[in-house]
Amino acid sequence: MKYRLQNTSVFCFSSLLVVLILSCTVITPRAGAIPLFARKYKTTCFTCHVSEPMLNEFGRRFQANGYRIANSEPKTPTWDQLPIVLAFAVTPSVIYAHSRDNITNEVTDSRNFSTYGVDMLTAGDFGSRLSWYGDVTVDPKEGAGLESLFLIYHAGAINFTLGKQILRTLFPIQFTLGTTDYLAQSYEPFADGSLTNKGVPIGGTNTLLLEKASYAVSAFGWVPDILNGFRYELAFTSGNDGVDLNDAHALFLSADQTIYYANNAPFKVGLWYYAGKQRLYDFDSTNAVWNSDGHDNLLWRFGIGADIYDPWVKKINLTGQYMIANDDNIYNGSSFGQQRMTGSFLSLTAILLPEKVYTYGRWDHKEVNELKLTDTQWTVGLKYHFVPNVFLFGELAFDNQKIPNRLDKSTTTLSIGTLIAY
Amino acid sequence: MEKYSIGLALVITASLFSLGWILMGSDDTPEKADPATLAKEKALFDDICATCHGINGNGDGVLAANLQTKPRNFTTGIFKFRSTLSGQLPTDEDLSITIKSGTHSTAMTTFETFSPEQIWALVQCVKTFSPRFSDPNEYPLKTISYGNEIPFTRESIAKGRKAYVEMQCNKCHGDAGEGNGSSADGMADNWGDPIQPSDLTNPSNLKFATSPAEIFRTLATGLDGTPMPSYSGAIPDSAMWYLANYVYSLQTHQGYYEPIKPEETE
Repeated sequence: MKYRLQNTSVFCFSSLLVVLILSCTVITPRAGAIPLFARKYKTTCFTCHVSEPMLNEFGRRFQANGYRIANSEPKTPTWDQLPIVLAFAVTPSVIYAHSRDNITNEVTDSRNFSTYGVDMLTAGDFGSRLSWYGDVTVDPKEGAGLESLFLIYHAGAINFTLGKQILRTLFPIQFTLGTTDYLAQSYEPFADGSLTNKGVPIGGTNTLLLEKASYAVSAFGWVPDILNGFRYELAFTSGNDGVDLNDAHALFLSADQTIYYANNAPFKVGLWYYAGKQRLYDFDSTNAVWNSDGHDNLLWRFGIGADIYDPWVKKINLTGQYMIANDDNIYNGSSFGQQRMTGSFLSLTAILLPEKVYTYGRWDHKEVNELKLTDTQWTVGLKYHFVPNVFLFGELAFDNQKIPNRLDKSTTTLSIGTLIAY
Repeated sequence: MEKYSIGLALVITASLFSLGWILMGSDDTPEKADPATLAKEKALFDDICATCHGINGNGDGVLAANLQTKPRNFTTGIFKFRSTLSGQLPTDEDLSITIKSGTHSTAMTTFETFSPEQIWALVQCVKTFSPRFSDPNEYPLKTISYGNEIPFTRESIAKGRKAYVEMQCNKCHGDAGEGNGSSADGMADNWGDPIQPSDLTNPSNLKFATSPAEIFRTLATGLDGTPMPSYSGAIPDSAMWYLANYVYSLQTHQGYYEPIKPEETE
């Protein structure tokens, strides 16, 4: 009975969301958000985004060109111009989650209000060759944190960066809509190890995660003359938040090719490779302390992907990725050794009303061989550009994790929120 | 470690700022671009402009499907923002201004960081898409006459308000100029795409209207391809100046006018 009631709650939330968004569609304000680069280039957010945060073709090229329009040479600003390019974004949302353990029939519900903190964004030019990008998050619970801050030296088809930054994988989260993590892209091997509830997972904070910013030196660029554009990146990175920089290093390679296959509709295909070494500190469960010696873990990640727009109306985007993650010496649930994850996602985004209403769906799947873990996730959502600088969104996600005879957990999550950017 | 990194980053930033200042480039204007430059800038067009305007300039780039204000179809040779009479091609300078300044409140961004050579070459690229630009019968281009500019005064604004009613501008732009007139709904441009009359009270909704002179230009040229007609020859230049001053007063909210009452428009 309780389960049925919770399902009814989810249905009510969903209905409310649909009514909310449908009612909003009768209001048709002229919309034009003014986030970071839109303000700098005196344009709307739709120059670079399908809808925030999903980048369109112009935005991808802009990013690949080092956050500049190709071949442009900004002048050195005067001191009084420097603070102009300062923006913020806040994403308050209500998240309702309903989980069910299908083995024990235990049901868990949670409701949270998440602010995601406030992102203070800044970017600008020091001259024709040099620019910067920075993102500081101010969270009431966690205080201020430096999400990213890096310098870019522009040298034509190649840009050099130095600082804390998210590596530009083929499909970072900006390439589709949605707020739910990608199972493969956000893969964290130690977190999965804890699912077995057997023994104490080995880990600590010494991880290299693709979805988070790392201290890195990078060379990347956009070569427009190869078919309809070739993008590449080579980077050396040193861990992420809270990492001892002497202990975690990785090499990152990424490349993708764009071609207008029909009627100006782009098709992209690419791959990336990420390999490194990290020092892991083992947990002494007897004394409840981390051992100071630890051991090394060699890791690599490999991904291939493709992205295509329909050639008829160019309002439907299909994106997919396949990824393998390998760690050679971590606690995999029963012993130290290799742990391998294979994962993929397929995402479809549709433009329902230009500059206004979007819908999307995504299928995610991953398998962790040694844990015998399978995880499948379905996500659907709607996004509405309500008024200038304000987006409303609603997202429903269903996730199922399974380990034979050990774990069978289903989670339904409903998120309703707004993105305010100025 | 985190504090040390931030401090180090700030020091490096300050140092490189100084270096960037020293390395800033020049912006000498060339007189003419050579064929090699044109080929290079066609590649630039394909890289940047084609995402909206399409490789062949027919306005069907991949971004177009998601834009309320559709990218210009260059193959027709019809352009909204010109200094020439309605029905005529724009001048090179007109195209140059649009490329350089962009059209705000649309996805047409500013390209003011491009060099004059690049802007000039992009203008030549745009002109290759329509046969009208190579048709001798299209020339010489006739630019509008501005007549004698009438100063922005209370008296001229009042006369402009009267002209606004007489010319039935309110049917599209609304009594208060907010773009919500009785004929506003269901409007479409020459290509069948929905279009809304501008909100004259919102500076960010008006293109090329930062002065009465720019508004006069729009009144005189019309916005070809849209329902906004040219008033050149239809009303005296002085009346267009009055109208321009009135519209400028609406967007600058200077309060020099009385709101139009419904009985005035009957």
